[in-house]
Amino acid sequence: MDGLQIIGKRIPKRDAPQKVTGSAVYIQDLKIPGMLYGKILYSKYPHARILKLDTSKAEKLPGVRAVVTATDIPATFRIGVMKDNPPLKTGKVLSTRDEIVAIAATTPEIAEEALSLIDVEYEELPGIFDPLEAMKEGAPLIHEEMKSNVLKMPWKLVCGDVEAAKKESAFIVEDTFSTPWVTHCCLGTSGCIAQFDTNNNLTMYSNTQIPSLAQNDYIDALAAFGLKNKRVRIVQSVIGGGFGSKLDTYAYEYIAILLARKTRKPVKIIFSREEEFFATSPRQCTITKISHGCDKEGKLTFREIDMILDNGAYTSWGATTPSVMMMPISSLYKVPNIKYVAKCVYTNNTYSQAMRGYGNPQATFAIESSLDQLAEKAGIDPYELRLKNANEPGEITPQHFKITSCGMKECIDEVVKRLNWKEKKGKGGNRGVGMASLIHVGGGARVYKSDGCGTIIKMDDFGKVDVFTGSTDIGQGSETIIAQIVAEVLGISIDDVNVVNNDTDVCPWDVGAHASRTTFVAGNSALGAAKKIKAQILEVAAKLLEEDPASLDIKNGVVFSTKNNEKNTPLGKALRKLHYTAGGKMLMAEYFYDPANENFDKEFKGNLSVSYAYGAHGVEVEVDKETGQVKILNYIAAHDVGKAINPLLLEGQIYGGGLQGIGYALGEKMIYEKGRLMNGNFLDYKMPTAKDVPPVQAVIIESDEQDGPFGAKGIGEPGLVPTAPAIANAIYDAVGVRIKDLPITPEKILKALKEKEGSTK
Amino acid sequence: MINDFNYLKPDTLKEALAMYAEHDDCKVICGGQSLLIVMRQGMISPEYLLDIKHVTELDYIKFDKKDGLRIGATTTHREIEKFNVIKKNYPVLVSMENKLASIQVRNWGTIGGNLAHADPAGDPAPVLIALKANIRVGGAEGDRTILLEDFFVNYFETALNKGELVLEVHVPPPEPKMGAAYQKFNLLESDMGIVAAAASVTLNDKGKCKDARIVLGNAGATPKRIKRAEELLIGKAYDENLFAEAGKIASEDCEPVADIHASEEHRRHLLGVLTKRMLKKAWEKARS
Amino acid sequence: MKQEIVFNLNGEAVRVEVEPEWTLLHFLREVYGLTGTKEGCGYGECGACTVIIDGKAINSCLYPVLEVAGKSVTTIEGLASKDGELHPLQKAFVEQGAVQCGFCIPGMIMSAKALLDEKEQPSEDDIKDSIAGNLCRCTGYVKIIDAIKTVAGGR
Repeated sequence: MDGLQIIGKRIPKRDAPQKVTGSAVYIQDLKIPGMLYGKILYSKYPHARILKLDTSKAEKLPGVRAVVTATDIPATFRIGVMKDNPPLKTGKVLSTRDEIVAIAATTPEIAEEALSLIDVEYEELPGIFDPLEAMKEGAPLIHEEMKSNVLKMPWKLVCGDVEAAKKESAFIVEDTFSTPWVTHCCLGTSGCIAQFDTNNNLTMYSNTQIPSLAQNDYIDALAAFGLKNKRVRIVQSVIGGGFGSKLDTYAYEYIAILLARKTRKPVKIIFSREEEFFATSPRQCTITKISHGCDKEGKLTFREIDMILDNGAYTSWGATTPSVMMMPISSLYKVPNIKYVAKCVYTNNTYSQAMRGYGNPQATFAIESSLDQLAEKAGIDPYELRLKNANEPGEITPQHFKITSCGMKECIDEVVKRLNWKEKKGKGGNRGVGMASLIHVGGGARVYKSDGCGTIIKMDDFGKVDVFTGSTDIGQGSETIIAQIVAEVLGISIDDVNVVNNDTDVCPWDVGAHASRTTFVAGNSALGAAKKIKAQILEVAAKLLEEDPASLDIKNGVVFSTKNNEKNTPLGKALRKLHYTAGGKMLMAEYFYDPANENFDKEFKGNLSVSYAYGAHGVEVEVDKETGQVKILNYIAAHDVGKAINPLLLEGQIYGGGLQGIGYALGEKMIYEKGRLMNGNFLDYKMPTAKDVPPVQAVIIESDEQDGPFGAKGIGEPGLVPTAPAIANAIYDAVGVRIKDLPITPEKILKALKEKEGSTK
Repeated sequence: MINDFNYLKPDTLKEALAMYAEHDDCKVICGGQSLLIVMRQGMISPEYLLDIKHVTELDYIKFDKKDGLRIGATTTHREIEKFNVIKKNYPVLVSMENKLASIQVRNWGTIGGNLAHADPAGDPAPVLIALKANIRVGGAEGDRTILLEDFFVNYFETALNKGELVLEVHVPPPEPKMGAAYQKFNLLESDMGIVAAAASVTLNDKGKCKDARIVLGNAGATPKRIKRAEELLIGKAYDENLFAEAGKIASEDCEPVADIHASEEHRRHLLGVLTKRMLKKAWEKARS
Repeated sequence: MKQEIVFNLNGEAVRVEVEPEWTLLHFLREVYGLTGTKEGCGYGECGACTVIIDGKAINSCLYPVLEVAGKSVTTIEGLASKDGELHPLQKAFVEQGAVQCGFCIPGMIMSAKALLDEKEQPSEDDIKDSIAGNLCRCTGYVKIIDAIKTVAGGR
């Protein structure tokens, strides 16, 4: 693509100046006159009956303006994907994050003190914290009315004939892998401010990453609370990190609404760090039984996976992550025969949600670890096995994904080259190399009925534009990408493009910042709107310049004739003319882009995304065999991104994802003991710091995606998907032990080394 | 925000001791990088907080070849880390301070505050004990000096009597042919240590071990000296098997407890490895 | 009971009444309206609340406000020049792509500033050490380290 002015350039994130000066307003920073502060009392036990609840002392505390309990909402009102979660609990509590009472007071300190004055009497019930226990016959039921602890979401994908393929395979491996609960660790904690106007219309100041869907949820809630046909406006403050944590609406938001309604005042709820750890919904733990086979030449013959997921006490999007796990399971490498069965199981733990990768990291850990085992059994270099089975453009996978652009082989080659793989593989000396690949949706993902995003563009008198987009910037930089796309199409400076992306009163509809879809879907939407308005501009200018619109173009804010450069007019002038002429008009264009991807059919097949992103990570490690400590000596992250619209921001996604992946591989774990989080703070939850950053290279491969805006595909999530298996494979290469349970701690490595020594003696 | 308390801010040591004697429910704060956390958590809520951070007469580092090193209680970690004389004469102290928490914490947290907090996972105590440090404490009635290793009584409990403050840490002058080393084992680079080991070795003219100290961190309720292993070293020549043997003793004699981050067995193992490695390192430093 | 203290805040003398139980962070954000300094944890573990006191990076969430009496405090709001020209570190963070969600950034920049004020040419380890107490979940720190290097390299 020649002649691009703005696309492909390293343009700094547009809101960065506000953020580096401290003037960006996060939900934490927002105050509204008369605002009250809400606080929530959570259950003391993971599973218990509430025998008595007495809030009378709290109500009498000066400064307390409202107390709400389950009696303040209709008994049937539930939130969440399976509508199994009342925002305030009564009768039985199912986890230590169960909300029982909430207080609104004039200061957070008073609200906090009021919580301590609430008396709750519990009858503790036996809890279930292990999904395998919960599945056993006769296990106590978490939701009695459901009659089973296994969710009624039967995830099952069958492609080809796995049993027949097993018989024909030359080599087969089988093993079990597991992953822990891990959490998003957004630096800005969750929070909102709910405010009603005199007509009971709600304004929600929020840091949600799904404004249009949240609006829908709140409208439903207001109707349930007796406020039918009310308007809901969502105003997003600057968001202090998302990573999937803000992909659903949560009890605290409904509690803020209830408190605001009861007090007729704006009510703010901001989570403390402790709450952020135990009362937001993390990436769930999984137990994955996997078997893989190949023929004599190393061609993969089948992949079979049986998976158990800890759903926790209630149901959010975590329960639907098997739908995305199906993607790597069916379509990472060419595998003709697939069988995948997954069960989500209720326990008395916290409840799970999406987190960057949406199940893909858990599935890919099992797949890519198992693949190395298969390579060893078949006597093939793991790199060659991967290359031999790599996906290619034009392929249709067993799950009916249509692979368009695909730079998987290029990514693998980059890893091999930059790691010096052939020199380093299998050389011992406590050093080793490992790799793993990834597939992820790169062209939206039709998980809802729509995968759309709207854009409105409005031109002003001066040739500047306002772009209203449905998409949300959670830090990834979508406002910059959208501005680049619009500026490129219109031939104007990016400084002349203003992006409005935080107010449902003016921004069009969008399904949210998820599935690495924003650059692709919102980008295509902005592209469509920009093209539409450009056509309008050229038509207007054509009359002015007495030219054919087809021979006009715009560059540097000037409309000119491509035949005769002297024939030109500044954009602003043409627009003013339009406004100041009798019978004039204003220029505005809207465009709704909904990619041509497909919902899964009843067999969970269909082209989920218009395009797929690929990548490969390679890592060299050194293992201290006496302490079990792993040191990353070199890290290569190669990604097929279609086209890098903004390499500066793109690299940021790769580096950021990569370090999250390293945390997932080597240290992070929410440690639950009997339903209680034991490490809900940054001292005990081992999130990487600057000192843990290894030497890392982000490698960008451009495969020019036909359907992407300027050829781009999504990159939000891929950065962390293959990290853990790449590291696990490298550790195996270094010291010959395979850790199958994340995180790979020194203690686990030592234990495995000891067992290995014992077995060889 | 912290629970309500009365803030006492003496300017002199005399004032501080008088205030401390006068108020019953009173906690001393000296940097507060640990205390304020437990106060914010509501784990303790004293009526009075005696802030001795501004008692400038306790903010000093003095070094004298004959007397050794004296560090006033209100000296920050960062001051110790940055002090050239310490770097030259007690390099192990600087490398230990370098890895203590974050710069923000080292900039305000003090050596006196750290020692008085008596967290068995604290970094300075094992190193100071390996350097044979004393601690001077005092109250309205006068002051006394005790061995630092005797200062720690139990988890978060010291030999301070009521009304007494930590005044000074004293490290004897560096002996010729003495080397010391310290390492903690952590899960992240800038993390709290799971366990730690400090060792010092002094050699005689023949290059044999004249004296040795092995002090373990987070290996029990208090910093733990492994005397059985120290004795093993006396009179011996450099020998890696000897260090391994000392390490083995350390893993036997330590008293770590399991927590969410590591089992007792793993801690014992690590303490053995660290002991072995630190002895070797200290010995090599002593030789050079 | 409120007490009056005088100190220097971003180059100007301020005289304020404060409660002893306030942290400096509480005072800055909730009382004085300087919300650029963030609270990420409240326990001195994330560094989002880092300010510079008498040249040193400090977690303002673990700092009793009474302690600032007579001292000089710089917050993120005090870095840009009066006419709005960004501080070289702020510029470098913008240009190097070191900012994503941005919540950690004010604290991160204050830690970096304390380092650069102290050391003319810090090593990469110095840089990592200086921000090891500042957690970031978005960036993987790579571009933050680059930005600090750029400023050091340019002088």
